[in-house]
Amino acid sequence: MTVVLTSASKWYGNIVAVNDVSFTLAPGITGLLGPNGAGKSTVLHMIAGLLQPSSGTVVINDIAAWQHPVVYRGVGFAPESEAVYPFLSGYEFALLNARLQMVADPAAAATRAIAMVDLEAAQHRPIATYSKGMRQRAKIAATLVHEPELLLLDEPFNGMDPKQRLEMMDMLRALAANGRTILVSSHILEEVDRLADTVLVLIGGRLAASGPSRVIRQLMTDRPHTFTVRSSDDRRLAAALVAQPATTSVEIAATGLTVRTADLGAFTRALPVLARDAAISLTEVLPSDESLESVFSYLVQG
Amino acid sequence: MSGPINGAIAGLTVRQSLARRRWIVVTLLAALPIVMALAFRAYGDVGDDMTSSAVDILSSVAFTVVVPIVALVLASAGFGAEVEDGTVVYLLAKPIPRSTIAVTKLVVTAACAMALNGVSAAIVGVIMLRGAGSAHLAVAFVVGALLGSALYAAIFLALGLITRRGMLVGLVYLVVWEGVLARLFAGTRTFSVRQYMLSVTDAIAKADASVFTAQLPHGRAYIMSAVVAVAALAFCINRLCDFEIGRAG
Repeated sequence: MTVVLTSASKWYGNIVAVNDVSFTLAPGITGLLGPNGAGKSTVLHMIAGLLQPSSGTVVINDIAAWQHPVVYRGVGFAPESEAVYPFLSGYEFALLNARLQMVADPAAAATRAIAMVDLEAAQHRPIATYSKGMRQRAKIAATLVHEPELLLLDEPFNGMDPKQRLEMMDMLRALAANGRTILVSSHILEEVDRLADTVLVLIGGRLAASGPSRVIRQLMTDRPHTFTVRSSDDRRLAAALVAQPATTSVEIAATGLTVRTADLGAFTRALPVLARDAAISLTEVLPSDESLESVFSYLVQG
Repeated sequence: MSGPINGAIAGLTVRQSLARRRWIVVTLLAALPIVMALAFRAYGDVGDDMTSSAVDILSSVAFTVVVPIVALVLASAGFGAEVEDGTVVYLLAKPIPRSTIAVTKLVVTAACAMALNGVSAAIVGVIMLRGAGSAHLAVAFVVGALLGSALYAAIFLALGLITRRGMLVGLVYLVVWEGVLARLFAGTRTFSVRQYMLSVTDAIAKADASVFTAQLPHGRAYIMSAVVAVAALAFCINRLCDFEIGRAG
């Protein structure tokens, strides 16, 4: 299943949510990475045919996504919103979706989907009693009932514990290995990096970068990083750091050292060794610009 | 499977309509005229005119309060609550024509309201008009209640696709338009569902003018009922086809 966005934009009055985004989705897992409010949900809703592009096109297998419910036969969409019918059990919710998808054997499809997300133990309890992670899995089970070729998951790992997260990633990888096209949005770099073959970075409604996740990872790490370092002897540590090739600059202040490096990996490996050799104890090593926003703003400016 | 009615959506709509204790609210509302009728039977004076009292209860309490509010409560679960909490996505992102979704919701919501209000009016009729030789009057009120239930359900479902405050807007419409304006100004009666109910009831009952007379000509009530039903359905289908979800903020 192929998904093609061509100069897709979405605006509401003067507010531009998505601006001139073009990409093609191929089988495998694609991560849609961006900070909150970057337009990830808007892109997913446009692909899911739930928002009409203000300009440009969103096409699934040569059919426009907007106003063509027939495309849903091959599409599973899990929105970010936690809301599910609270009076249904997980199994009933999956069964409802199977019936709405008009699969041949809804009961068997619901049972299979519930097993895929490992929700059997709670499947007959009302969803109102579910934890956040269980609701997420119930939602994902509902998208799997008709074995869709295209899976659109908006922040699917929200509320899941680390174990559930890993299991869900394994399941998605298995689906991708079967030739499914999967688009997963996240605001967490690590999630996308671990899961996706290809990454699309969305910032301020624009596609800021795209490519294999290895390349995107490099883009995000091979760039100047700034650390605040405090130690038992800042002056001696500064002298030792300056001698390191990975160090770009060191500033000494009363509150500690501000160290810039162009090579994050080399720096983080060298710092503890260097401190140990010089018998200096480190009391604080704080990355000062590690917020995702700064990573992204770097990408935009770069 | 892709007829005008979808079984899965129908089942879901019934459960939604009655969820969150709505069934208690609508059952109590529908029981109100019955309780009044029983009280009247038990405590009324022998000389009281049962027929005119039955007309009072049905036209004032049932048609004015119970029928529209039962329909409003049931319909607010339809699109209003689903749009509000975002669950409508599970219906719209399915290979089902939007027209099927709209028709199913409308038919099921109307059927629930008709069942409750129809049974309520019938029981009041049996309690008060039994043996009074006014069986045709009871039947007429049941038909009026069924018509009103269907029309109000259609209007309030459509309202849920216009505003997230469908319940509030619906109540304001009932109190201000149906309650005050349509009583005071003859011209507004052409656009009052309550007047259609009364007129159709009157047409069927052919009751003695001293007991009950509708203020809207019968023909106009039939035509306007059809217009309202078709317009509400067309609006729901049209609106649902263009319905966008996922708008940020």
